[in-house]
Amino acid sequence: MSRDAGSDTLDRDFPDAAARLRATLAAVASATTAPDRSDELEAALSGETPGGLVRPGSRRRAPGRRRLLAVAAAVVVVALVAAVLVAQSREDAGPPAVSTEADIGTGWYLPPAGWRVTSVDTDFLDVGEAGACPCTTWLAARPGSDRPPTLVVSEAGEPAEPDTTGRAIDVGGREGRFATPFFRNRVVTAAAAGRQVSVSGRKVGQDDLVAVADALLDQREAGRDLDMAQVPLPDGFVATAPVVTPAWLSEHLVAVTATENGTGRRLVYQVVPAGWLRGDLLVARSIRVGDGVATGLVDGAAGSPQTLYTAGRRVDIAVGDSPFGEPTSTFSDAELRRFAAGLHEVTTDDWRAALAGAPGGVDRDVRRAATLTSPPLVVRHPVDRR
Amino acid sequence: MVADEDERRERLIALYRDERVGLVRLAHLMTGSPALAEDIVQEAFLRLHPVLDTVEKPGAYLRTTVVNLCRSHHRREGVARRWLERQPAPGADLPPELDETWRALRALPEAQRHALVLRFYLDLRIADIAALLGKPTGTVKSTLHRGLAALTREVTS
Repeated sequence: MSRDAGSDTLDRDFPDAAARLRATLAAVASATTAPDRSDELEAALSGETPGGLVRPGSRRRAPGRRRLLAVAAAVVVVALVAAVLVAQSREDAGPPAVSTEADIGTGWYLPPAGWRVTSVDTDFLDVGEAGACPCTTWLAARPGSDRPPTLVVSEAGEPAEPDTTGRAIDVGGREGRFATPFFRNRVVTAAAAGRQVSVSGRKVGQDDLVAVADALLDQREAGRDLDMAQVPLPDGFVATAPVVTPAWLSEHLVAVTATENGTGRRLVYQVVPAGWLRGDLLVARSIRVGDGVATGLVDGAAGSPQTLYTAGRRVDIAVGDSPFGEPTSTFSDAELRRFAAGLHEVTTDDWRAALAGAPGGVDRDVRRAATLTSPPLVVRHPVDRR
Repeated sequence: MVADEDERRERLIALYRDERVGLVRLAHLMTGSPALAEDIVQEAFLRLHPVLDTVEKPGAYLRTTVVNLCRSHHRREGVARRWLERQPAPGADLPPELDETWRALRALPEAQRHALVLRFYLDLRIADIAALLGKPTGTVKSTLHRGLAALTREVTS
């Protein structure tokens, strides 16, 4: 392909860097090996288990033995609960930091007093698979600190290609899959009546994951509305309100860079249609759940800031980290929570007025969209227009 | 029906053998992780399989899918995977000056790294990069400029 004017400018402005970058990319590419994994591809197409995803030593206990253990454990748990509740009370106190349930419903949030919007960018979110939605997502957790047990549950259309990750297990008489994709998280998936339930958990046993999947599939098979209140969640778990995605949508996150007056400190907050950030709470250091909304603090990697996530009913919000890796200032937990508490939803007119004064770049689609969930930021996929 | 499916799989595997290497290289450059690159390419072929009969240019479809998966994998897999990727990873056996550039590239913000790879490895025009990434051409230009400026700072400091 031929180069265009913009690229010629790049080569002119950065001749050494451009030449060295081309040489580097060519050298790394040449040195990249790409082993032939067509056998795995064929196995996946045939629905066979690829193996290798199951954590060594993970075994499912028989239900009878599990009940006995539960009785014995209950004695210990009762003795510990009071002390744990006292320890957690400070972390659990108060509602989640960000209100995402205002009546305005635009999904446009401005920073608190003392801050100004300096730029706005967007990134697209993976559209997933045709027919997956309408779909529903919940988060449930035992609120507290020290990386509390957490579940993310989703119910969606059964994928065209069968799930072949992990190993086969029984989910209430149905064939399901169990896998441990990363860290200590475990995932159970199973399908019935053309719908698939996926339950991802941290510090939650396989039997408990199976019980949640089984209960939701029972509800679906009985033709009932899905009701998390009727699902046997592990003790102490509190569920958020469900997030329902009506159709196969292409959606975007909106990342707002805000600058503090006086200090010049920079912070990025991402606002996305609800449901997208729940998986990130599976690695949260602490979680609060209240009024159907969950908030959790997630540690950054070495040298990068922590982030405060809010999983709401209409939008999810992450405060602190930049999805584009741009450097931001470091903030304490309390500062993040104060900032998040000051985020407030505004009308389209007020949002556009704030963008007009932003000295940095503002994504064109953000200027055009009436709300976070309006075109061109959200597009219903053509295949689902029927 | 079965014959159709067999035929489709044969076509897919043949395509895999033809296109695999180039796609894994692209995904490696975009993500900085050779292992993740292989997984992304496998996933791209799995996504192509059900629509193979209806896709006019499978090669272009695969490349777009790989680029999209490279961009979205961190959000789908969550912060745990992102954290893993940020840990030091062995690079290719490169001359020192290229190794320095490769390390600097891997440390760039994701949007800048992706735009630079598409421009300087695939040699795509800015309009094509904008279309592929779903961003305005102005944003792509400024992203490329910021990326090259950052690389220049890193390798000359």
